Amino acid sequence: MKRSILFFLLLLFTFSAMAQTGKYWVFLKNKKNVTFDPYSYFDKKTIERRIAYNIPLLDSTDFPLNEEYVNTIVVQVDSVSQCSRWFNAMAVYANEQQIEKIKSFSFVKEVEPMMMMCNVAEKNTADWDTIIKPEQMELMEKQLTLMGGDKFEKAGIDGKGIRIAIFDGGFPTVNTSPVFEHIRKDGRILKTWDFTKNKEFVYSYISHGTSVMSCIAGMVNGKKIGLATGAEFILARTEVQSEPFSEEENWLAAVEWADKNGADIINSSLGYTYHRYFQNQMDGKTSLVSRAGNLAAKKGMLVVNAAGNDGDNDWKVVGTPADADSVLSVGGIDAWTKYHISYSSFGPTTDKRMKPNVCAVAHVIVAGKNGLNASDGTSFASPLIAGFAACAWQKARSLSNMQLFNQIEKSANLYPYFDYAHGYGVPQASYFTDTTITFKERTFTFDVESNEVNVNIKNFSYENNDDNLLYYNIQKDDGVLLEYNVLNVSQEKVFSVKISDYKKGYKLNVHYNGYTDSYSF
Amino acid sequence: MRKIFLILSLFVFVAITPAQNVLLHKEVNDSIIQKYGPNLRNFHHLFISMGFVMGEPDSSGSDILYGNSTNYLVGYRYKLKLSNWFAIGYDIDISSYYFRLKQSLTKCTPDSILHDKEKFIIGNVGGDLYLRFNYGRRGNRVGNFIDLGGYGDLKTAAKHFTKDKMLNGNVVEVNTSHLKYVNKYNYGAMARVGFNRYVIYGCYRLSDIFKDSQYPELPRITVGLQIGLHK
Repeated sequence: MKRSILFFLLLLFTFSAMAQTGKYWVFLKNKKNVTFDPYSYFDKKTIERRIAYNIPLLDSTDFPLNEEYVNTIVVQVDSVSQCSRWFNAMAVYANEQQIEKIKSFSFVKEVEPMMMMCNVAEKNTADWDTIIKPEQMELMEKQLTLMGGDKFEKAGIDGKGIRIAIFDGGFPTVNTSPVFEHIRKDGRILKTWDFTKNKEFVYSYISHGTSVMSCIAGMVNGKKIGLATGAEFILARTEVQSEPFSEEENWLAAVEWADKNGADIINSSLGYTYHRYFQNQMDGKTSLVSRAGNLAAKKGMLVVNAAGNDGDNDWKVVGTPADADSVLSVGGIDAWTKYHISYSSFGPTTDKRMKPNVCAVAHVIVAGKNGLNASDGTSFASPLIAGFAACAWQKARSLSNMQLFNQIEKSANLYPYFDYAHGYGVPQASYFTDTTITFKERTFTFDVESNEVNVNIKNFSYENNDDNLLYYNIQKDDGVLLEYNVLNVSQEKVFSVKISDYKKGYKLNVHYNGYTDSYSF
Repeated sequence: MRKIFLILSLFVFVAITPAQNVLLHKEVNDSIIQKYGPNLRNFHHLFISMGFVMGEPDSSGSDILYGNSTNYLVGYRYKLKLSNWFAIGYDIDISSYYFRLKQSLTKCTPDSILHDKEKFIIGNVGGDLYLRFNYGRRGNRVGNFIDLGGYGDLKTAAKHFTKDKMLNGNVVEVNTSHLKYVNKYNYGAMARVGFNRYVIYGCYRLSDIFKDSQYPELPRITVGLQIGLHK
């Protein structure tokens, strides 16, 4: 009896003790007496980018941490796992007593406990199959043609000269698979780093990164899986699915590493949601990764992030860093229905900004560990857009990252219409390749009858119309949407709304077949 | 006849008039105020657990085989968060206990006859009330916690089972149910240490299993692992 009680108490004690050592961010107050030489630290391409876009080479956020401060912290903690120059912070393992001591140092600004688990934004992966079935081929083509990818191909644009950083959970077979042979042959995988194990080798672990990379630049038998087959790559392993506490710090370290190594675009098919955050914290300011995403944009990189796969579960809204203002968040559509795929996370952010920004096909053909397979997730919509962005940037190299961000939004098929499921829709290559401006003909009319606005399609013909999706929303006077809808049009008179139901200043925005118009109440 | 014709015409008209198909309709909430979630005001989930009976019996007459004497439980748990570190709640569960009796010369529960195998099986429906003390940052997760509380069980079945291999090779199994010497109710104290969905629990039975102390009481402690069926 006594022995059992002792055993039970021992168990309790063991688990309590285990819980006491934790992981913390230690934010330092300043970078006093620190010197920094950008020419020896940055890759040549980073320096070129910064000069081209007037981004200062001597930015205090790039300076290293004060060595004296670091050394003082190092002896106080169990171990240091990462240091962030951008946030002047150290990620440390320490117990409560050690943290109390650290807090007492005059150079320590703040100590924040860390707890994180990320969702690799992949819905599921079907069984691999080496045979390309006709329907797989059809889908593979569709995922690119919906963005007008053939226009880039015809213009000989393949993302050449653009450096893309991919953050993911592993890249097995990227070093051997024929899907990436064209990249390896030219030595275009420039750097790799595993931030979870602090070593160079990344070609193992979960195959999510392999699939993501294939959606940016994969090629099978001369057929493109992604658009940027000519781009350069740096690969960072930042995620370990079984390790619940490290990913945020790895993401932060990787984004600084990407900047240092000259990345133009970062693709991050990851999202941090319910494990640490509440939905009302998805405001682009609360999480460290969203702030890091914005900072990366300030330093001239285009950050492309998956919106998330929580549209059909309790979470519903975009995760972080997809909530960040300067991060190009990518939602998912179905290749066949051409509208929102059920699991793609919805916007807006808590502070009512539009998210996602654009969308792409989320049910796609990807390269897995051993062959091609069909996969689902905004994880794959994001790299399709990253590949698109590389091509667009190659074509319009004079654009800064945020100008490119805006141009990608403007190129989307619904623009200027938007909603919180599609953003501005699917970006179109023709926007960047066609120099002629085509006038969009009115495809519908607003007809007012007493208290009603009727929306009627012009020259409606069901048989001849391949794309019958009509989008409409009600927009409040502050620009935020009240509601949004997608209809499958099957008659001339589509719908009507009562004018008296809406306040003065509200707008009815409608998009149909490339044409957008608004009716003001 | 005219009426039927009219109805038929109407039916045909409705059938050929194409309707607008709403593919997506979303209303945007002004604010997201959540009240349900692992670290929000209300949360509930199912759980399963398996434990081992531990501790000493009142005398060697009710000695059990440790490791083979087990407890299985399936239940529903509700939690009401009152502050960042404190919550209250209740469980409703179905459980069963298997007490494998040690066959020794001192055995006297429920008799002194020795068998190849002998066990008591006791099924219950019950519940508990608990106080939860959370610690550590946890986001919208259940996180780390310590629960303290009390439980009560209503007996739904009580069986005494024996198994003997006879000299001629026959196996005799005797299953005695509706045991009159087993109490209808049980109650006790319990504690849990939880790490999100994984929980180590321990129970101490304050009540007696056997009526009127007819037999030496079976061990009172159960320790086991529980898994919450939530994220």
